[in-house]
Amino acid sequence: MNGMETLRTAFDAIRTRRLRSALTVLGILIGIAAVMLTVGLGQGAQQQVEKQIDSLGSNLLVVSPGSTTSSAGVRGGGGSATTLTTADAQMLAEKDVAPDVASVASVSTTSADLTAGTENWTTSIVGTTPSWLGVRARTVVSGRFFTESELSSSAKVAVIGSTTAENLFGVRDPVGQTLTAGGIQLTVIGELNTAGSTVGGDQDDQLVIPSTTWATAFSTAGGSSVSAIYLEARSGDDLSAAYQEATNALLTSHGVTATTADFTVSSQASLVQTATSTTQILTVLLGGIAAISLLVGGIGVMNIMLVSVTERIREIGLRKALGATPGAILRQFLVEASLLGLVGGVLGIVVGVIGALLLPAVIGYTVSLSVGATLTALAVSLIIGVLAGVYPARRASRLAPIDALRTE
Amino acid sequence: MTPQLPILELVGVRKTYQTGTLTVEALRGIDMSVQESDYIAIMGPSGSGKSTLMHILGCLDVPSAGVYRLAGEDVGQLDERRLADIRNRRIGFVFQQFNLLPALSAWRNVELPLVYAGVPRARRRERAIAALGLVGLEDRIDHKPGELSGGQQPQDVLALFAELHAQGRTIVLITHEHEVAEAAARTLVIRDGEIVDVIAQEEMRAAARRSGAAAAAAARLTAGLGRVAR
Repeated sequence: MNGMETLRTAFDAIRTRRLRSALTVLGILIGIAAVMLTVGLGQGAQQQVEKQIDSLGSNLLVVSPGSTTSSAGVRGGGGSATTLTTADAQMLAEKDVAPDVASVASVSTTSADLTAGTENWTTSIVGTTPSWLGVRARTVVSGRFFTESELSSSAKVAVIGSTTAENLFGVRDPVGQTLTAGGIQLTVIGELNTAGSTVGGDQDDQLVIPSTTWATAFSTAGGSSVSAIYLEARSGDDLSAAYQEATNALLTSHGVTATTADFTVSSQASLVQTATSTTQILTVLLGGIAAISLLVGGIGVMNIMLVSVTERIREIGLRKALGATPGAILRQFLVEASLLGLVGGVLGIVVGVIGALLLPAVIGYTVSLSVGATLTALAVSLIIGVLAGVYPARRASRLAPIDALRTE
Repeated sequence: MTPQLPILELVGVRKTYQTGTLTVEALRGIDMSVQESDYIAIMGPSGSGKSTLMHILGCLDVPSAGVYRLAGEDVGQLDERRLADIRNRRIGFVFQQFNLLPALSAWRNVELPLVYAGVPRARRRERAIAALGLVGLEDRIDHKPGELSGGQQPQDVLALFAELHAQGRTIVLITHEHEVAEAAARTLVIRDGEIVDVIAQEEMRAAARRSGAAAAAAARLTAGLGRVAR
């Protein structure tokens, strides 16, 4: 019996047992589609988290002031000291001091009450430089950010976060509106893009103004100390070099050693690591669920194939009586099981892809399809289907024809 | 006339079935030989072991003990592939229950042995249709077995065997009706797994006349075995 005949016989068998064939195909289909979508969801979530962290600026280093100890012995928390100044920021911006630092933004932050007409809202007010926008990886969705000349002229301008704008101005366009903060009237010249909440708090609830303007309104000492200095490394690979350069430069200029340092430099790397490992656990978890659904689907396929072969032992006996070799019987069932497996596999992949396209619209998460998981699922279901089909066929093909014919 | 090598030869063939703790001896030492182009009948009551004997003769089953030679070859020594080849090319069966594949049309059922013999498809169809024509089913070739009526009458099968015998094929048939056994040149009588008598054709005819059963309706035909001419 040649290949063509074997294929024809397999098609005949599949056609005449439509429901059973359809159920087998369905079992494989569900298994594969489930694996594709669950693993895809896990990976999609992982990518989403990575993207969110990227939006924080993954090349970002934050220099914070050290803690203070008052004369009464009360120790302040990190950042309570006033050891960082705008001079430090200017020094770090110099290329020969820290060549791997691409840009620097010092920020001074305070919480203050804003009023606009009859509305008022308490939020954090950030005094900084025009480089802030790039360093924090933010954009302006309407209007513009303030310029160097506005910085040097202490212009009374402000860029507003979307949450803050909503609370002060409702649905009105905030650009061009005025508000009062720290006794100074400011004109809103731009609105920031939405960034959502991160570990640093609600990134959309803040007012960003030139540091010179901020000093006039809020600095009690009138000094040049800042809350933090943001450093952007030239790339993620240069992050540790930038870290070293900034640390050394500050240690030297402050005249302290690493043990007595009055500042800390931290990066987002540890945050990235935590988030990545969390989503990896998620992926493994979803993958485990997928593997179980594949196993259940596989056992279903196994059942159907076993029953299908068992009820055809008479047919095997008849074929043997007419001169079929055990090999020919085995090939017939092998081809039949593989055909069902392949059809189920291909349909499963189609359903998986369609699901991956439709699901994000429903659940709002990206589904990132994995070729490896898809191929593994396909291979596993094929192997299960073929083994479950061929094993009983092999046993039946070794019976004496009359014993097979007598089977009811 | 020079003595020929028998086409079928059984020496001390036994068949034992084990059902739980019960051991059933279906055949208790059968010795027989059949010459080429012979036409013999095997008669015996139900449970006498005649079906078991037929299955062994047709290579559908293997003896528990003893030797079965088909055309001089010890069947017990053949591997599965060789056995498949013998079933395919040398042995034809007419089963009492037809043993057809319900999913396949009439001609696809008929062509099955030719599929395993490696005959090309066009030639198979031609030969299957010709064979169906012989039994008057030429207009039913695409019908499924369930759509074919009744089945063959035993007389038709006897006529077919007579035709095959005339072509030089060896026929072994199993029956428990005298009227059917009459067609054979010799009748072996089997009882409790042993051959107890051999009756020549003339004797059978005489016996049938005596029993007055010549007008008996449907004779019960169990199976026939023929040798396919090469």
